[in-house]
Amino acid sequence: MIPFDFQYYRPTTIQEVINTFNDLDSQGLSPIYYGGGTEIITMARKESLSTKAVIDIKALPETKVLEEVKGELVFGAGLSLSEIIESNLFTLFSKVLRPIADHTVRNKLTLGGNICGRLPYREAILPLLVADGKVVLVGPEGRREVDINTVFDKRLLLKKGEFLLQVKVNKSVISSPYFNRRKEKQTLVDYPITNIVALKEGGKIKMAFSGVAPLPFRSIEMESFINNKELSSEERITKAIELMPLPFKKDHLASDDYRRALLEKSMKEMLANLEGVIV
Amino acid sequence: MNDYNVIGVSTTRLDAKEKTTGKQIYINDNNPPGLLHAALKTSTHSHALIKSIDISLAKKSSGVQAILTGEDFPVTLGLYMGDKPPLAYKKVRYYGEPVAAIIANSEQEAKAALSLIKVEYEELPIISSVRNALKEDAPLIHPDMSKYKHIDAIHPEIGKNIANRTKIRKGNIKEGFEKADVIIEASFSFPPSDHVAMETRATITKINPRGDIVIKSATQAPFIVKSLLGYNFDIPIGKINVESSPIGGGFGGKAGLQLEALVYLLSRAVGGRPVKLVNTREQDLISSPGHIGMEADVRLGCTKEGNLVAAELTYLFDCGAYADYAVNISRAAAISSTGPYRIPNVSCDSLCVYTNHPFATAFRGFGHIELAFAIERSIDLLSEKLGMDSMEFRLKNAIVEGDTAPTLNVMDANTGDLPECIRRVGTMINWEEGSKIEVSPNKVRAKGMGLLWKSPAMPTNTDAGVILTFNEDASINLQTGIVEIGQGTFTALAQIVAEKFKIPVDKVHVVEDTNTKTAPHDWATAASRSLMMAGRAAIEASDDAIAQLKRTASIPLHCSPEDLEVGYGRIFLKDEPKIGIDMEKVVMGYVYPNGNAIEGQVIGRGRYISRRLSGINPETGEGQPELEWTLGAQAIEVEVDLSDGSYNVLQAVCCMDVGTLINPKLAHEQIVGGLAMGLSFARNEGFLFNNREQVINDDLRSYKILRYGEHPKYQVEFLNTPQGDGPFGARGLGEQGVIGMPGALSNALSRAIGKPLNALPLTPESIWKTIKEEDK
Repeated sequence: MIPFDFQYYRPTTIQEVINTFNDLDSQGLSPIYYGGGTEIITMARKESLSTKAVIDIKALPETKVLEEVKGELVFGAGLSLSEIIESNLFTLFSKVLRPIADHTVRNKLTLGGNICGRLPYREAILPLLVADGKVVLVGPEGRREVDINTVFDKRLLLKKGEFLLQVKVNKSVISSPYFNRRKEKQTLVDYPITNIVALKEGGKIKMAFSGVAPLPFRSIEMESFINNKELSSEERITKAIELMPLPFKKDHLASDDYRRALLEKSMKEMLANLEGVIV
Repeated sequence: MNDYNVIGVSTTRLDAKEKTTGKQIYINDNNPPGLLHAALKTSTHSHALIKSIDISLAKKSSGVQAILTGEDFPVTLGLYMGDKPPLAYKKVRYYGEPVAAIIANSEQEAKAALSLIKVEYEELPIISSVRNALKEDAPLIHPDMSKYKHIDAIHPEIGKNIANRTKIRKGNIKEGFEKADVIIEASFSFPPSDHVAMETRATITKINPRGDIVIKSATQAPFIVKSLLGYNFDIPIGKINVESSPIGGGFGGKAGLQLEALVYLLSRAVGGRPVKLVNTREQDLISSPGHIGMEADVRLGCTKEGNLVAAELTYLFDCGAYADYAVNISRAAAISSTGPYRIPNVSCDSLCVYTNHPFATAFRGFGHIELAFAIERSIDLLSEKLGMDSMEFRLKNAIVEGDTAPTLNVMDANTGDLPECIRRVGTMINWEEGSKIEVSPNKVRAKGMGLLWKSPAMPTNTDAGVILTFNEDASINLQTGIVEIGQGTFTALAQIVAEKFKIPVDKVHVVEDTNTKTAPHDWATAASRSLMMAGRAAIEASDDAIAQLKRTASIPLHCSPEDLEVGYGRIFLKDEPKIGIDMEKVVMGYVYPNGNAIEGQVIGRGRYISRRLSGINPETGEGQPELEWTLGAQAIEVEVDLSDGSYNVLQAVCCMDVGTLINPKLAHEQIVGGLAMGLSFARNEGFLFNNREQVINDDLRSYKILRYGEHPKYQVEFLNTPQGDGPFGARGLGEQGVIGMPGALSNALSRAIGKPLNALPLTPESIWKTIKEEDK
């Protein structure tokens, strides 16, 4: 049970969302955007989150778009993970989303919620980072469509009042070779202790990570080493890991040493898979 | 085989429709008029003095009726030792301990006011493990222990953190080890954990204007609740009525006294209005008691021929902050300390040790799953050192009829056939193909075995009763004091009565709400003794009713009652079955055509009380505390990835000697449930503590139990050595499935990696670390 009261809004147009946000914000209610509610409800229940107002964005038709438009695959932020998985428009995307939470939760958990929520895993972003996708953001200052890699730095860099409306990837990525390895502490329904998502385009491997460090990331520096075929496979992996932009995480799920070992193993499997290299 | 009608038939459980359609009503579904709701403020410290509790702000919060703290109830209560205040009084002894209760008009208002209570603490030194608790200079968690009342069967040590010590001294340990050619010494451990029953604990209590106390509770032990409340609060016991409807899983966690004492006090504080308290999942995990932790030291010796000769055992149970059932768990573990092995010389000290961890209560297996982990690992270590196959070693040393238990009690003719259980399990798991097989350079398949035994740990005068009444259509109402906790005993009892009357099971209606005012007395639905004891009472009640039916029928049939038989809905002449009378004409008294009536309704009464049990000698453990032993063998096959320690459990098998099977399908499901629970405990479970002994995995997001999809293939077989004094030859099997699993899993994994894994839970990372450790 959530012990505190809060206001709930479910606007149906973008303008209405913006107006509602501005209105609630000016009343000092610190409104937050609401997707599937899986994080807000569970955190509010434990009182680790408190809010006076939520704005549910799922009634916006734009957030429910799930189709190919002019060579781009468009995914609305209000889609549940299950809807995206079952559509299977982008196989790697489906594969990465499927181990998140459990089936019941995936029926509620939204794409926007997974990317913009407070939990530090944000695994839905990984395939989009390596696919060099775009995000459509809407806020009081208007609408912008930008490359995801310019506005995602461990988290989506949103301006005040801005929310994620859609993500887009070029349709060509669906035929690119990919690799994904997710490791949990033990049971499958758990947060990742390492999750690597890789896509190979034009002979180059692009990689994004979650669980290994406190926040998810993609690193161009790491990619430059992993793609440096003048080095031995072992060195490519070791050097890439040395350049991780964040330190290995250590918590109740796993030690930093174990995460490193699992990541090294996953990267070896990645090279074997994408390049036929046996390390 | 016996020619039974419904015994041995897998009839569908009586409550199948309610349970499978979600229509079963649980305590939290009840909302009587005028209901108030309680919520608990819990401790953020694991050991601290309570300097002050400021409730002034919370009192003004909307809907709040009353706020109570430990100051309001400066008493200590307990099950076997009165060491626990209803709300923490002057100090907190574990993280999550309730320090205040709010009663409000709604659940939301009660919870909203919690954050307005301000508690000021002064931290005390923390005891983080049993070994620290036993150090000479360890601070005392219960400095007032000498003032606590306790039962005679437990032995607290004043001035120490020891709530109980039970000793076993069998044979001569020194001479035993002198005969040993091979000796191993090892230590084992696992942290405290939880039952994770589906239904969290819940209680509703009201006090009627005349002072009658009505408690509706998710309890396995309504009669214990009644007697402990009467005893502790000086209430005439007949004024207390405890009602327990079917509960959403017990596993021992709802035995004893749970929320009932506190909720009674809360109702009393608001003029007897009904008050409901339902644990949140978090509170059910850590504020209410869970599964005990343990550290064990084992020294085990055998001859070069592989005969066990001596065992020196130290079991240090981590009972956390309060004694609850844990004192008796440590006692039960001493009584069964060797596992089902023939060991002539045994010395065991089993201690229940206070720490600043969440406290422990009964858990499925009650001391046996714990000791079995230490013993089964030790058996593997010893057979490895000796160079003998571990299955052969087990066969050689398995206890059989005529051997003696640690209590010197002789295993009687009812002793199950353990060697045959081992052989069956060996066949099921294909032990012959080898217990370690390389699948690929990094993958190994391996097998491990674990034996089990268990006897109920309970008072010597444990009892049960059954009352049978009849309906006009000659169907039967069956009432006992047993509680439905998921185990399905009601179905088996209905089968027993149906068998006695040779009628279909659907002619027996079980009263599924147990009510201490109307049900016959019953100790508790615990210790896997319900079917055994209530089953015996059901047979006696049936015989009593049958005698009454014969007497009534003999009058209009003009014959002696001895000439009659009851069955198939009729009472008829044994030698001339065509002459008889329908039961429905007799169950309410016989009425002649002219209207005259005789005899009146039939009421069958049946009782059972445990036979020839005694306590144990405090110095040697000699005595007769065991009613019956259930024996069995289990094995597990795993596939391990040596590069990262991850593994899959491929199969889990069990063969148990349960005597006569009353309901094979229910028995099978009960065992599979036990295997799964034992596996989940060994693989996944255990509280994680930070350096202030706060539990950091106090929710199901982080405390992981086995899920659908993670289960191995299960195989279960039964042997049927009859239990001579059991109903139709049946014996208890409720808890036993869990017992051998931790040993079997750790043995399989240890074999796979070629190094000992002596601590639970067996996480991939812990295995990876062990693989990487330099050999000593």
